[in-house]
Amino acid sequence: MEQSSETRGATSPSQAGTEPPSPPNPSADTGVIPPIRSPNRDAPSPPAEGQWVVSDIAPETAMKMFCRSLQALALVSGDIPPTPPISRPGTPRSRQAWIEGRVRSTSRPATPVPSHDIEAPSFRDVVVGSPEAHMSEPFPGDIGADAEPERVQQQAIARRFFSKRPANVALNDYLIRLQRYCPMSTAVWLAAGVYIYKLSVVEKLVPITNRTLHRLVLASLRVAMKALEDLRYHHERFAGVGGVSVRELKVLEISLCYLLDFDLQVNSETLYSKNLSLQKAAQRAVAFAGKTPASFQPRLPTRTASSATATTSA
Amino acid sequence: MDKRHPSSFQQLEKLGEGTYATVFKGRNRQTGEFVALKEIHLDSEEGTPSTAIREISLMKELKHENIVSLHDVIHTENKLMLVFEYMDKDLKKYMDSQPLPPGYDSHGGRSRGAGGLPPDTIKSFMYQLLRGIAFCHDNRVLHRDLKPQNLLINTKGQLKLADFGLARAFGIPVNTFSNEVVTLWYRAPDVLLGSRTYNTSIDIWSAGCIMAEMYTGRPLFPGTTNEDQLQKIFRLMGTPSERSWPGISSFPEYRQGWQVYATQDLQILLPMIDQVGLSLLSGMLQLRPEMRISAEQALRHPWFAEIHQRYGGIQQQVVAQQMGQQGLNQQVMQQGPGPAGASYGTSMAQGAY
Repeated sequence: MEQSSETRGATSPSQAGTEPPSPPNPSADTGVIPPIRSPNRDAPSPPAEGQWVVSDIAPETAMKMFCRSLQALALVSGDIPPTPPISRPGTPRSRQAWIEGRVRSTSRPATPVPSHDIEAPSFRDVVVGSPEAHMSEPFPGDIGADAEPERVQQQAIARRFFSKRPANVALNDYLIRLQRYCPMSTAVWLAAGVYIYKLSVVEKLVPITNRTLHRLVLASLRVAMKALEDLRYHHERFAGVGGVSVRELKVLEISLCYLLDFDLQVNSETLYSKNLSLQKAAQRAVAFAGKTPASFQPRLPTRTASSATATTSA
Repeated sequence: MDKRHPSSFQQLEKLGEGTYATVFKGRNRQTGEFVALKEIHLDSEEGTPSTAIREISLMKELKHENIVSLHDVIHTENKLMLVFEYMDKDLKKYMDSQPLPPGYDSHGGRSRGAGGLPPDTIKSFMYQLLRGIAFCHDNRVLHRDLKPQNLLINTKGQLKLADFGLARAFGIPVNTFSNEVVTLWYRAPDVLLGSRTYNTSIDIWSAGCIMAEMYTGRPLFPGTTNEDQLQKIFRLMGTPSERSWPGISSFPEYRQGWQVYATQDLQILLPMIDQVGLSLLSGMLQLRPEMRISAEQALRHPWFAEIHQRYGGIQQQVVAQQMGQQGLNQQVMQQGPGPAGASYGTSMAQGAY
């Protein structure tokens, strides 16, 4: 309180007393913490196409709907491998260089949610699998004369959503776990659906497969929450519940922001229409999968390494 | 949004340091145009600051001449750089730079802070402030931190809303709202009383406080704590009761033993304000949120009639606030509409989507 962090420039002594108090921190308000308990398993099942209203459905219903669509899409896409990393002499910067280059800064603290419930022995770890992208892999976000074309950059960012092998926890259980320890609102679940619809179905930047599902949902929920809610779980808590490292969660959330070009705001109309489109995409995928022999491994059209090379040389 | 190289901007002096960002003045090397560069580090304890996520995602959508515009976002591995249009001062500094009115001694006790602004300037700034607020509310966004430091002024006399780090969308099924919002001095009584179901009227209360501050040069309710802030408000506006404010006793912070103050006449505190302006001000400073005037209604208030009238003959058919803004641009800029003025007609009608 002594010094307003918003103070800009020098203040003459006679005006020092007129500096307003420090800016508020909505996340500090413990009144925004919802009851942390088992998700309501009695929440109605996901409604059929179009038979729902954004403001009426329970968070758990939105969660089930989200889960059902993503599982269907993942089932149909099969395994799509990530694009290999960019390897050029001179580009990789070591982790050490990354540490030296950064400057520490503080952000407003997260909501002080009691943390005893995520301690052993009652809390068991999950692991969503080690990531395909190495921590030391060059982050392709730098823009400039030497920068990669946008497509190549996006592919490199997309690699961060791939696990080396599918996670050992089913999506359904994973989502229930997230909702159990970090309860989220209907809007957050629906916004995550909007983000994944745009990223994976419309722009096809990251395919929905069993190797990407968990990281995609974790990042989408985290970003939706930061964009829309006052309640903000500690980074450590969210990473722990999600089964990734703190550093990895940081990379995933900013990567998602970049890939979505920060188009993160939603309203009740987009929440409805984009989630409906996601549901329909899943239904089409299931209908399509049902008509093909089991040996046939369909793949969602995705931007392949060869098409990227073509773009680069063009 | 374009993605350009950080070095396409020449970094000049530091303009300020916020909670999560540093702001520099910058110059576009190609065009020579000044910009404000807000640098955000991404390696904080909590990952990408939610303030940055909000600010970028909201300002990409809220394009209006009374909202500072975000030209570009440049991202590198460990920082984000937001490129904003350059504004000369914030309203606080603008007020502090005003000459003291005659009779005020710069060393005397009463001269803390500068004097007020000229009435014409106040009217112009209030109109622009309300237009910016109305646009946010129209697009279902609450600003939640309106204060003189977050209102930027340029040499053309334009006022623009800035710092959307605490803003949030309303009308979607989110969890409850935090009541740790708005810098204390500008915080509405319903929020101070612990309300989590507040709406657009909290921004209007802040606007009322800012209007009074423009007249006196001093904050209207400079409280030190939540309790003290309520006390200061009640001393002027009168202590509310279940009779004057049905339902007040159900607020979490309601207390039985409040000191009872009678309602004061705002005119005594603000002798320089005219009667019509006073009626607008008291419409904004209503204790009960549902009694507060909306931004749209405020723009149609007779106090702004002269802004409407000046150019009323030219575009009678155009919505009042749009006509007014055109008049305003010409009035304050003295050089015809600038680049911002060119798009005035469509921005409000079409919304941000």
